[in-house]
Amino acid sequence: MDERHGAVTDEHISAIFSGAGDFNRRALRIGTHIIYVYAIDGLTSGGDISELVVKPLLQDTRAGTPDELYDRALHSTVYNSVAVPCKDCADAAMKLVNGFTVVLFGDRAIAFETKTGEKRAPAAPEVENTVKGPKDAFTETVRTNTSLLRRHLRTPALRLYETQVGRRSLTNVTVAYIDGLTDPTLAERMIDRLGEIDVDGLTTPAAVEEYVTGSRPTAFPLLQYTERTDRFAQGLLEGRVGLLVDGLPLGYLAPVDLGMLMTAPEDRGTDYLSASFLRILRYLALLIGLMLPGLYVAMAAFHPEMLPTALLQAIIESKHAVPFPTIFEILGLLAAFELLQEASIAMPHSVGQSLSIIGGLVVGTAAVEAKIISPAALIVVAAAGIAGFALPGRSFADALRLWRFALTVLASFAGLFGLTLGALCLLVHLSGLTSLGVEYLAPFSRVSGSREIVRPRLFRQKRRDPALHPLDPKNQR
Amino acid sequence: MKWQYPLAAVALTAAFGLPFREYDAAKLLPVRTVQAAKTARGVKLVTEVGEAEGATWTEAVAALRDGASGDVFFDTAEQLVVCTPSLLPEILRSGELRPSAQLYEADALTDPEGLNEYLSAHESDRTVADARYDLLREGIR
Repeated sequence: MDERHGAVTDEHISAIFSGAGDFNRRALRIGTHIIYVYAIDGLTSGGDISELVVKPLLQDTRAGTPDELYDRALHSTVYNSVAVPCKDCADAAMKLVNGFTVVLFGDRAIAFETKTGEKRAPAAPEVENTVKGPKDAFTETVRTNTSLLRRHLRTPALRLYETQVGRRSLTNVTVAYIDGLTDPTLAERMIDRLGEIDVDGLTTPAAVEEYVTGSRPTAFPLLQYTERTDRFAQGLLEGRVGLLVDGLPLGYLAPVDLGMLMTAPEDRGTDYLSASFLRILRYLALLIGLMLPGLYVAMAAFHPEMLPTALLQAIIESKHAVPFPTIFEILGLLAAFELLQEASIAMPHSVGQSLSIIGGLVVGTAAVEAKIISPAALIVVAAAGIAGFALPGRSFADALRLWRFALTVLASFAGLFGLTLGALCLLVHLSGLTSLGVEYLAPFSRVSGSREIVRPRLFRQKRRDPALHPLDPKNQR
Repeated sequence: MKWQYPLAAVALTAAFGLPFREYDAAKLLPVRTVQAAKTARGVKLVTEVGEAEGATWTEAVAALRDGASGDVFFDTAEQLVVCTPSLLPEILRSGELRPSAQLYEADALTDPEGLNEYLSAHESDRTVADARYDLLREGIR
């Protein structure tokens, strides 16, 4: 590589960062020559710059031309372990914004890595809580995340392809996969998609998910996110491709299918019987969360004859003196439930708890006592809401929340007929979804689909998911 | 996605032409036990939600519905007590009662209070479906 490509001058670098208050420039005299040291305050460690870069340079008392100083700095005098020649001015600027210190010798520059150690340390996951699992959740710094990943997967075959996405955000993005295991076309597709993204910034989770997946018209997640490093590492071991984005304390995994979204990392933290039982409960929760409000509306408003008389009697008694029709009651409660949830998220943690108590208990109880809503409707919506919280993936649960509304509206138009049609629409919609070429319902279209519902014993789970086309199909002897 | 729009359209279209009606659960008056007998004025009907008379079974049912404070709901009826056996074909042909309703014969109409519990404890060996079957078989002969 031609190190002299493009002239790097003090004027150019200073012009690029003119007006930047955190841009530091210092001129040093070495013999008869002046060299310039540039760094961005906050991204770099001042102590490291002084000790590892400036001090060795000033201690080099041997005379020489700028080119000789450059060569000595690159190969001998400077202690810093990472020293990269800058190709041109733009390259020097990129190094500076990535925590390097750039030293200019005449018209050639070297970038020394002097990143600050000030960053959030890995902490326990906040959303995906774990009892037995590791407590090192991802942070906002991609390099910290790759180091955490390396500690879980020591294999040298772990590949970390790094690129930058976003014209202005220049976000560092890392594609992780295991060479010799992951289907190379999956990694290629992910890298190609990242290459196709031409946007100002890739700074929010929604931006990552929509741009990487091609923004399909669906509420269902086509990338699985996790804040748990062990889950991410397990995903890579299954033959999936990972994505780490600088600034986001998450790791993304692709492809994803329904079975993967219904699997909790704790499934591998407990015995297979308990894990299978919990998985079955989760699938029941999926059905309850999705269908129960619609089923209640259909039964109460259109097909009361299908209910046992005692249950119907109980519903009738609970509806007595309530002024609203069942459909408005259920839709109103569903909307109130969503509002309460949104308000709880927006509030500080301590206030959020109070809000839940006031909203759920006080207002709910008062509304029932005032005969504004019936206890049966409240129980139905609360049960559906709780069932939704039992699902392991928030994005997936959020998608189901939308479909719950849709199914309830359809049930209010056409009873069980509408509910069934809605469920068919959902099935057709899910059947049409793919994630990196893998069908969303792939696990349930195979004979071995039951493996997704019950967790087999690990020593019997010898083969990786065939839908991912892993190069190494067996995970154990 | 392309299949969802036609399916949604079918759902909406069906909403206006479905073979079942919408109920307001709060106004439902579920009937559990129906007693029917022939009287001098026609047919008398006695249930927990009220009683009515009409020239025929259908008219008696209509009269009961007209006079009730809510929506009289026969689909929950668990027992049918017929005091006049000759009335049974007319009741069966109306299709008002669910086939699994149990069929009893009695000498006279009685107070409906507590009747459902009593009959539930003394199950009949004949249902409305059985009676319909017998009726159809006789019709074929």
